[in-house]
Amino acid sequence: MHRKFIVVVLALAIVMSVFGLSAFAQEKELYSMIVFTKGAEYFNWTYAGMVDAAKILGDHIETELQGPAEWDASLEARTIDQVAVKQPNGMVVASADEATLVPAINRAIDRGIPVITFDNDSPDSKRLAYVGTDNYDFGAVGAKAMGELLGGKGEVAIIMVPGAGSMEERAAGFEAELARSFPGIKVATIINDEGDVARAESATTAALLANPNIKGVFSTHGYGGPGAAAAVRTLGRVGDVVVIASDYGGPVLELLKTGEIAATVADNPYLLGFQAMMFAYQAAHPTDHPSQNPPFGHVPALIYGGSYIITGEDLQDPEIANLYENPPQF
Amino acid sequence: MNKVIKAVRGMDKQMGVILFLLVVITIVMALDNPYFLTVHNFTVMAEGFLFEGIMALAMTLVIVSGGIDISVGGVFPLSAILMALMVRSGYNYYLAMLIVLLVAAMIGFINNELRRILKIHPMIVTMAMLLTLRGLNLAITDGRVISRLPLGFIEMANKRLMGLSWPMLAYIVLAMVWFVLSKKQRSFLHVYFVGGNPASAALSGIRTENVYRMVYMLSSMLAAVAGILATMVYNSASSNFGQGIEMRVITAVAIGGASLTRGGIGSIEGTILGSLFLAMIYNAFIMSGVSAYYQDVFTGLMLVIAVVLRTQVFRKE
Repeated sequence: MHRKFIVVVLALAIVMSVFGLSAFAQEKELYSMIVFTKGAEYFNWTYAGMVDAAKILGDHIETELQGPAEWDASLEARTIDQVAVKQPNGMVVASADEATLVPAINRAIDRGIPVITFDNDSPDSKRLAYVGTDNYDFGAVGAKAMGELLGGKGEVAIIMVPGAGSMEERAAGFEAELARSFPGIKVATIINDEGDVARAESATTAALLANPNIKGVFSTHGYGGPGAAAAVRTLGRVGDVVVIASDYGGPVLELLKTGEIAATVADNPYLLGFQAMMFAYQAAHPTDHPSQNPPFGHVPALIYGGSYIITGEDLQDPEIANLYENPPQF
Repeated sequence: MNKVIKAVRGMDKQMGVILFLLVVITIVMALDNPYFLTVHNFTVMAEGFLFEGIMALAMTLVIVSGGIDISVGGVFPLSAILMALMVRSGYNYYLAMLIVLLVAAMIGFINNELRRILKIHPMIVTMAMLLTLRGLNLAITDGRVISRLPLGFIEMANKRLMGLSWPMLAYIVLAMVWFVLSKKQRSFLHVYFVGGNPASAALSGIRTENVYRMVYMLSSMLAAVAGILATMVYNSASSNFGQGIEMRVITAVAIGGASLTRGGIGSIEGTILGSLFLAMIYNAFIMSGVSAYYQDVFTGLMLVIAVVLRTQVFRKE
């Protein structure tokens, strides 16, 4: 009898202390990042940014990375609906396309979950803010590097897929910045490689043969740079033709080191994820001052992560090289 | 209560195992996450697998007939795209649905004719069709999402009947119809006969080719139903819809006890349970926050277990 009593008291004490402790602990908050092609290096960078932002905000912030491994907007929409059931404190979403997620995002907002889009927007939805990359500026950053490398004169070619929105914007920004800062440089031709590295090589070869005055090639997407570098190598004109790539996939990094790609323009996925997390937190914590999106807190509607140049010289620093060569994994 | 026990005893053993697993997962998840055992979650869970569920009904017949239909992974997005395009250019919604169903029936017909005339395995025929359709979908849409559908269509699509969404309603009706037909209707029963032993089925006077034609056409048409519903759910359509959906459909059918190697084995109720099981697994991974990378590992393991159960443990002597 006595012993039983002690056991009961002890058990009660344990239960009470657990409840007591949790009462003192800060309430946990969950923020979900939802992407398409989950596992892609790019989104791992964005999630790394989100995780670091959560660390700054405190131990009570939990994050998770969700979404289909496929590039399938319908699957991503389902994921949003299922994550919304958990009533996370905020969601940050990279939209697989701008239309399909609209109903799912709106349902989440209607349930009081702040939704921030990043990387790819869903402008027709009720999402509170978009954290993205200004592709026009991305192209302009490439143009500045090109202008300096060519000493302000010569002819150049742009690799892109006509009709693809982000590449069109990058090309437009590139041309405009050349015209503004380096009027001595002329865009001689547009090379359509259909976003494929092998096509980039053959099409660039043809373009360089047709017009030997082309001294520079700028690729508006990740695969064009290595393709153009291969074309320049085949024609034996390494050093004579400047190749500027986009993004920092493995092949681009290798060719930056050998110098066959002079520079690459990078956007900042880490910062996109970081900033999206911060926005989601802001939106989940309204202040007394009325916001534009009641009942949510204050967030600007749009912010850009910015673009910058990486050169082979930068990669000489082992710390920097290591950073790009070992992308985060989740 | 006695009735329930009797019903459970009389049930297929494999289905019993799946039912048992469903209960276990429900209990574990309910303890892990307070939101799991809610009406809202179960609705979302079911709605997350309705397209596969609808397609699995017809796929069961194909597999029971001894064949397979991979092409549904191309018919599903094609139907969504055609529906969205027609609605956007002002077609009557119901006429548009009819046209999509006819196109799908035609694709099923072609699948079967190719299989019959060329005498090649349906896996190859329908895989070729899948690739063709995926390419066609890209060509039609130019890789772009079709959106901004008329408000009238969106309003119609968002309507609920007795609190149920269109896909949910469609699934319930189709599942009931399929279940009853598979037990009573002659041409559905013939599918089992033909799948189990085509030669003796032919000898007993069954027109086996009619049976094959029916199952492939139905498979395509239910994929089209799912595609039409997808347009309604997402208010848009894209060539990237339904990536890998054919595999999820076949997995649901296989977990439900149908045999991919021997025709004549499988049931609609098993497939329904298999669909429910996969729906719950996908949901459980999202709810628990366990990396979705393990989802396919888990699903694969479940499939192996289901096959082992059927072929080794519960084998009828």
